[in-house]
Amino acid sequence: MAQVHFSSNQRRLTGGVAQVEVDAATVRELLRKLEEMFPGIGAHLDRTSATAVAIDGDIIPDPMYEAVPADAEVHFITPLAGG
Amino acid sequence: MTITEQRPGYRYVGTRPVRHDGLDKVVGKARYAADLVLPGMLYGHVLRSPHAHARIVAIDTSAAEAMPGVRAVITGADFGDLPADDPERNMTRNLMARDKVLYEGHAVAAVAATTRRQARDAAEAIEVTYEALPHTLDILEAMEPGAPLLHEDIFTTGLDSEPSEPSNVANRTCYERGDIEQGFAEADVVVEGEFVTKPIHQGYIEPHACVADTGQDGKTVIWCSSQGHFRVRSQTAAMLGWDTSRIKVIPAEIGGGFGGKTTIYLEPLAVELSARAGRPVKMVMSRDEVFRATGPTPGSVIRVKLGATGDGRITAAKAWLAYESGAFPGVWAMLGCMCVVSPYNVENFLIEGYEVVVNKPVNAAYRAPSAPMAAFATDTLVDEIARRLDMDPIDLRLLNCPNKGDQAPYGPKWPLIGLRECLEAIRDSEHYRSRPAPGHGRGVASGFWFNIGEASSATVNLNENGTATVVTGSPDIGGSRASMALMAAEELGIDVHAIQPVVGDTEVVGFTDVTEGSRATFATGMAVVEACRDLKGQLRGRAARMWDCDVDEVEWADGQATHSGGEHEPLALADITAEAGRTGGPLGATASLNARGAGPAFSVQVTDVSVDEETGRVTVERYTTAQDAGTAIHPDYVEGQMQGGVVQGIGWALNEEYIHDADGVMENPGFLDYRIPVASDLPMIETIIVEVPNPNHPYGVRGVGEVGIVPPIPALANAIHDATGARIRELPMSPPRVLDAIMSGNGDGG
Repeated sequence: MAQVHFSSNQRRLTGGVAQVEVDAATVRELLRKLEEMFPGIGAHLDRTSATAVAIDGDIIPDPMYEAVPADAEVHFITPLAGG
Repeated sequence: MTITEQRPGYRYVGTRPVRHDGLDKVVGKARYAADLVLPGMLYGHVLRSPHAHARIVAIDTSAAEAMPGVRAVITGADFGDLPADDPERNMTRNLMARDKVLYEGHAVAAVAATTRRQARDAAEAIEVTYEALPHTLDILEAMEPGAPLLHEDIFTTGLDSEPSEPSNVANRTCYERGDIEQGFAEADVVVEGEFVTKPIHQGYIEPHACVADTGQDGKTVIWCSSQGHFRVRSQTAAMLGWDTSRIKVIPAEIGGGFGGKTTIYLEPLAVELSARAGRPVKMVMSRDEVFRATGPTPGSVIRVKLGATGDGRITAAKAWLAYESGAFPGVWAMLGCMCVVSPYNVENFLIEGYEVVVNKPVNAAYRAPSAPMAAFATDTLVDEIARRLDMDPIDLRLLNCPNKGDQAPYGPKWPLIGLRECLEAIRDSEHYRSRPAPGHGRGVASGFWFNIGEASSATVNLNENGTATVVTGSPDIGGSRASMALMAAEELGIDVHAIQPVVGDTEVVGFTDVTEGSRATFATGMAVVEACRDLKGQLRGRAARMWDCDVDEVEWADGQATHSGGEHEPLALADITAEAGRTGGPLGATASLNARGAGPAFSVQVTDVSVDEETGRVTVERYTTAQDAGTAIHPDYVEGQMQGGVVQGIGWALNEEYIHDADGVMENPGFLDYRIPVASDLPMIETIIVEVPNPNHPYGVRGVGEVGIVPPIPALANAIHDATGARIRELPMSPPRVLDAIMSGNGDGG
C-alpha cells in the first residue's frame, strides 16, 4: 500500500487528513481512489499544470501513467520550474 | 577539486578538453539569430505601452500602413484568444495585449517594414487610445483589498474558504509540520526579520532575437535564440492556433539565458508578420525592450522567524513569503516556500506563501527561481543565531544539516545529497581556515535547489572513419556540448574530439524539453549514454559478423571489440565502421527518455568583504564556493557555472534593481543605470567541486547550473554585518543603503 501524504493546502480537500494508505498500480488509479475517498481532490490533483508527484523522493511532472510501487511514499507537489 | 566519494576511474569524464564550439565563439564566427540575413528580409518592430495599466480603447493603424516600406501591421485583434484554463493563455496575452495593457512595455502592435527605421517610425505612427487605470507596483499594497485590480478573473486559491471577490493574490501555498508553538517554546534563542528584494533581470548579453520565414504553403521556419526550441515551437503554435507540424525551429547560438529564454516574446509576431508580408521578418530587441518587456525575477517580501536551543538545534521556523509575479501569476511563491528552510532539518514549521500580480513585466525563471530571496531571509537569521550562541556558523549548519532519509520540508524524503560534504569542504578550505584581513568582514551561507529531469532525446551516428556525431535537442547555454561529447567518448572509447556534438532543430532530433532546471547534462546526457550503449551492442554484433562468431563471444571495452576466446585480433571502432556497409549498413542509435532521479543540489559559500564606511561601497575581497556536482563531467564548465552563479548573486546582492517612477515607468532600462558586475569589480571566484555522485545517473551527474546563485545574497549580508555591525534586510545592498545602515546603527547586537 502506498503512503500518500497531503500538504496543508491539500488537507482542505481531505477534511484535515494528512496521510492515507492506498493500493494503486499507477498514479491514475491512485487519483481515482483518492477521489472516491475525498470527492473533489481528484480534479484538484489531476491538473497536470498544477501538480507533480514525488514517488519515493523522485519528483515527476505530468505523472498520470507513472507506476506506484507497493509501499511507496507519495507526495503531490508543485511542478518545478527552472532557470 | 574535492572528491568526496571514490568514483570509477574514467578516461574522458572529468577531463578538461577545449570545447567543440569554443573557437567559433572566440573568433566571432558563431552564428546568433541577429546575425542571420535572408533575401528580401524585412525588419519587425514592436509598439509598447507607455502606461503601467490602461484600457485599450482603440488602435488606428491606418497611418502606419500607409508609410513607406511598411508591409504588415498586426495588433492583438489579429490573434485568437485561448480558453481561460489554457496554460498558455497568459503567455499569449503577454506577447500582445488585448483589452488592457498591464505594464509599461506591454506589446500593443507590431510592424514589418523594409528597414529598421521604417518599422520603428511606422510603429510610432500607430495611434492607440488608452484609458489610463490606477496601477499597483508594490507587493504589500497590491495584496490589500481595494488595490487596483489587474485581472477580474483571479480568485485566490488555497484559502480556507472560497473567496467571493477577485484579487491580485493568485494563490496561497502552505507547508506545515509538527507543533510550531511547542517548537518555539523549546527555543532558547528566537530571531526574526522582514526581508525585501526588488525585481532584477537575468542580464544576458544577447537580446532576444528571431527570424521567421513563413511560406505560401502555410509553414514557417524560425531561427531564434532560446533555451528550448521545442517550447518555442509549441508556444508559437499555441499563440497562432497552428498545428506544431507547420513550424520548424532552428536553434541559433545563444548568448546567455539563465532562465529568461525559457519562454518566448517575439516569435509568433514575426511569423504572423512574415505570413502577411510574404517575406522573412527579423525581430531583435533593444536592451531597453529586454528590460521593459522580458522576464525579470520577482521582487519579494519575506518574513522569517527561527528558534533554536542553546546548543544550536533549530526547533522551529515560521515563514511568510510574498512574491510578485508581474502582470500574470507564476509559481514563484510556491517555489520559495519549498526552498525557504530546505538546507535545515526543522521538526516544527509553518510556511505560507502568496503569489501577487503587480503592474510590472511578467516574471520569468532565473537560476534557481525564488530560492535566493528565501535564502536571504533564512541564512541571515541563521547567522544571527550563530552570533547569539557564539557558535561557528558552519558548525551550526552541520548540526542542523539534513541527510539522506530525512524529510524535506516540501514533503519527500531526501535522497543522497551532498550538503554536509559542501559544509565540510568550506570548513576545511584554506579560505575559511585563514583569518579575515583586518577590517574585512566574513560571511557564510548555504543554498538549495531541486534540479529537474524531464524529456530528452539524442541520436548518435558513427561515421565511416570511426568518428561520431552526437545530435541532441538541448541548446548549449553552459558548455553542455562538451559534456555530451565527453560522455559519448567515455562510452564509445574514442577521443572526445573524434565526436562532433550538434544541437539539432525540431525536425532532426526527438522532442527535448527546455534547457532549464540544471537538466541538460543530467537528462540529455542520460539519453546520449543510452544511445551509445545501444551502439556498443550493435558494434559487438558487427564484430561477431566480421569474425563469424557468436555475439556472446564479443566484448566491448576501451573503444574496441575483443574476442573472449582470444581467437581474433581486437577490432577498433574505426575498423568496424569502415566495414559497416558490408556488415549491415550504417551504425546509429537514438534514445528518448523522461529522465528520473534528478539529484538535489546544494552550495555553501564564504566571502570576505571590505566596506568603505564613508561611502557605503562594498568590495568583495575574496569569495569561495563549494558545490555538489555529483560528478563533474567537464570541470571547467562546472566551475564556470559555479562562478557565474556567484557573480550574478553578487550583482543581485549589491547593485541590481528595477527602479520605477510613480507612474510605473522603468527608470533604469540600460546597463549604464542598471549595474551588473564586471570582471574588474570582482576577485577570482574560488571553486571547490564536491562530488557526491547521483546514483540515478550513469555517471553520477546532478546538474550544476543554478544553485550557485542562492547563497551569495545572505553570504554578503552576513559579511557586511561582520565588517560593520549593520544588519541589512533590503536589497540591493548598494552604497546608499549600506551607508544608511551604518549611520543608523542598524545591527542585531550579535
